Amino acid sequence: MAKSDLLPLKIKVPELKLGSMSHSQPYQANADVQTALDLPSELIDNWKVVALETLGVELKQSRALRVYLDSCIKCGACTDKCHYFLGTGDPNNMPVARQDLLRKVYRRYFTVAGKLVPKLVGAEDLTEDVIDDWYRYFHQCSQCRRCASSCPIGIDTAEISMVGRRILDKIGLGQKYSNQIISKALTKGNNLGLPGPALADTLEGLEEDIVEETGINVKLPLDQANADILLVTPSADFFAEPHVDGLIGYAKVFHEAGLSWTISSFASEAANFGLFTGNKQRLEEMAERIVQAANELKVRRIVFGECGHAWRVACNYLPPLLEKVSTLDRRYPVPQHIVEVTHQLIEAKQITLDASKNDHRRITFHDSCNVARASQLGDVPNGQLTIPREVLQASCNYFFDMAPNTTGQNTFCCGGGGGLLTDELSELRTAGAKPRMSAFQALHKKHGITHMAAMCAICKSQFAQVFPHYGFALDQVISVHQIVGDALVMTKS
Amino acid sequence: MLDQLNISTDEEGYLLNLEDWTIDIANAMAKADDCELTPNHWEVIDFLRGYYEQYEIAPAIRILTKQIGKKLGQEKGNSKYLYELFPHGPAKQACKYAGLPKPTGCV
Amino acid sequence: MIAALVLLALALCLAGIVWRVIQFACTPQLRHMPLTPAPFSRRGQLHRVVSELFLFKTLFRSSTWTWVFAWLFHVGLLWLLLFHINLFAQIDWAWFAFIASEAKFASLVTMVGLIGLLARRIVVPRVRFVSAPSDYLWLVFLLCLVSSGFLMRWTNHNDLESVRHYFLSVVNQLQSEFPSGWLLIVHLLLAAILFIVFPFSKLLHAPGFFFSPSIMTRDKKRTRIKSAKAEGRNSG
Ligand code: SF4
Ligand code: SF4
Repeated sequence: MAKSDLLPLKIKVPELKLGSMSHSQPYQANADVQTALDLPSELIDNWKVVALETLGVELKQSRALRVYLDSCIKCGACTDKCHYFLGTGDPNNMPVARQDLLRKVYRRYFTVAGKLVPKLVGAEDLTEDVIDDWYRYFHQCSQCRRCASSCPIGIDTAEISMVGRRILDKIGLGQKYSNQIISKALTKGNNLGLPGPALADTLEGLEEDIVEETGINVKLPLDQANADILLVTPSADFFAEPHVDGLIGYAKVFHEAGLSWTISSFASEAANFGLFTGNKQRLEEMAERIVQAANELKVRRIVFGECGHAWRVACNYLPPLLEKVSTLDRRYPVPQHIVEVTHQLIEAKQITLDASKNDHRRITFHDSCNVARASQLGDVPNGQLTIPREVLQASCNYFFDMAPNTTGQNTFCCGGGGGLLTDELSELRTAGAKPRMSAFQALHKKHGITHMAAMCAICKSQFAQVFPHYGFALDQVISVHQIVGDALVMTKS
Repeated sequence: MLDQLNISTDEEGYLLNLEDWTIDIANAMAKADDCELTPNHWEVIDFLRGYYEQYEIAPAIRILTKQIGKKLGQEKGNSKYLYELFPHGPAKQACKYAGLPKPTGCV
Repeated sequence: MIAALVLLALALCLAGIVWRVIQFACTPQLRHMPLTPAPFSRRGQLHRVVSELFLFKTLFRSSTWTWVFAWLFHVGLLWLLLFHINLFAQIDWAWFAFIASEAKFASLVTMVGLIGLLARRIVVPRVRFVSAPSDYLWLVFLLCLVSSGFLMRWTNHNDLESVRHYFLSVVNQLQSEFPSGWLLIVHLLLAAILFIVFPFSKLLHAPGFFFSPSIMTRDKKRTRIKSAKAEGRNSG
């Protein structure tokens, strides 16, 4: 891993400002969205019973939840680790306080001490006020696990906020942004709701652009049966900037390496918002679409594009489901990540990079939380931290790392993850980006950094939106594979 | 002005029914955002509506910029220019004025 | 009487711990969810668990002051545990007897840890915000328990021989005489309370550590098996 030459960043811990973010909450999902997912669309009459039942069921099914709710010693080590707390000062955004919103109810109804002496052990009745707090503060957690990696017992607030959102969903308080996306992904195959013909048109347009730019006929194939590789990438890669330049980068790499590949219009989405809302059923349905596409297209490998939580799902949920795909070539890891593919091609000298093509850029790398703390790359424990950096360093001459306490395992979330990338949460997102931005500003000051490379669709969109608030331009965030694509020496016509 | 038009929108001001859209509505929406619609804005809005009719989705930014470049000149065919026209983001703000639903996803 | 109470409480305590362990062990963890970067090898995993368990490595990284006091407290506690075991079991390995003998010093270390933790809980507003009354109470309670023991040793309140004798006679259901001393009574009563409440409290976080998926899950490699089918297809 590239070493940062910076000292640890001095992170300013704010004063407690109780309730300073209590006004922040996402829009509630309306009846259309909720019914599409078989969920009630407004607070149901027997919400209390259902909420406690749901919690009870989750407790029986998840050792993690039980252990995390039981084992916190209130040591406070996590209290200054959450970017939303650091950005807002609202004490309910301290990870342990966020957990306590659920824990106090768990204690009251599920533990001896909470039943006998609730006041003493901080147990509380489940009231509508509590539910309101859940809706607010479980939607101020991007499920980035920074708190978990600072907790001596490994208590993971992400798990707790997932369960919290699951309960809210069940009693009729769904989040519009995430649930709308889930229902689109389940009907149209992707989060945008991009239908097949539009996707085909978009990809054709990109092919034209590449020819115009390089003179080379790079293809972006759609639904091509018997291709070697199925590329599953976040749909933002088709739609948004700077994402789309990353997609062009993947295509160039595949082309230059002579690999046959395809995108599926049926499973044209890597992202899986079922993870964020703790909705296992929907999560699996979306994952199944990838399995089905792989089977129908008879591909040998599955490669994921640049998306953080999609890669978490791919590493943790997908492998058992993919047992059902008989055509897969098991000599390759199943599934694989595009950065791994590129890394291997570079090592095997199957592609050549001319780093000087990026000499107009001075680049740093933002570790996405779900890649750094919830997934793997390559087959060494630190691969997810080293491999992207090695790829970047092969592609550019000026690479610098941000302060060590803000990168790698300690990385700060971009502020928009976990289903929070929606406009009504802009204030939260801007505040939550502050720690990452401070690290970027410090590096910028020292080394004149021009670009922050990221390998996650959410990170890219989030930074494009918040950069202007911190004195940078929105196009200073860039896809890892745009940098690769720009450096790639194209030899094949 | 917007309220007088008596239209139903979602929390964020996007039309609930595509068919409700009129030029007046677009103008009123822009006015509410302190924005005056120029012919260049209309170029974008018209293209969005046409594309939506054909594909049931707003076009990718790349497609939009290319189109605008063709229509208004190469120097305007980039997202920077689109952001000048629609400071809240071309995809979201322009879709709103065009009466299209808000693009969802990680965008 | 008191000895019986303490012993009964101790039995309840052990039962409670076993119950808690069974409850954790019987709850399934359906999902593989390592907190990465996590070791792939058994060896790496062992290293991780040992350095967490004995050195509180993560706590050291994330909150050094808490680490100082927490570590002192737990080391003191372990030391006191050895002392108490030795008191009754009379293990006659020289080194064991040696560590187990210095109860005064062990109590001091424990008390420094406790006072530090209590101070942090009161002084740091963030920690104060997340503390329930029981969180303070436990620290104060443990301070009382440890300092009563400390005072006994400090003042040579009663001799250890008689305490041992008393307990062993109770265990063996022999006629026994309670060694006099109010400090001893206080100490034993507090111990009994601790034993009874322990399994229901946050003090029982050690099993949580051993069942925490974030700490206990190794990362596993994605499949890369040579399957005959894939081979056949590649050559064909
Ligand atoms: S670091 Fe872990 S044990 Fe300590 S307060 Fe936070 S969640 Fe609780
Ligand atoms: S998971 Fe991330 S966002 Fe959520 S509480 Fe922990 S540090 Fe904060």
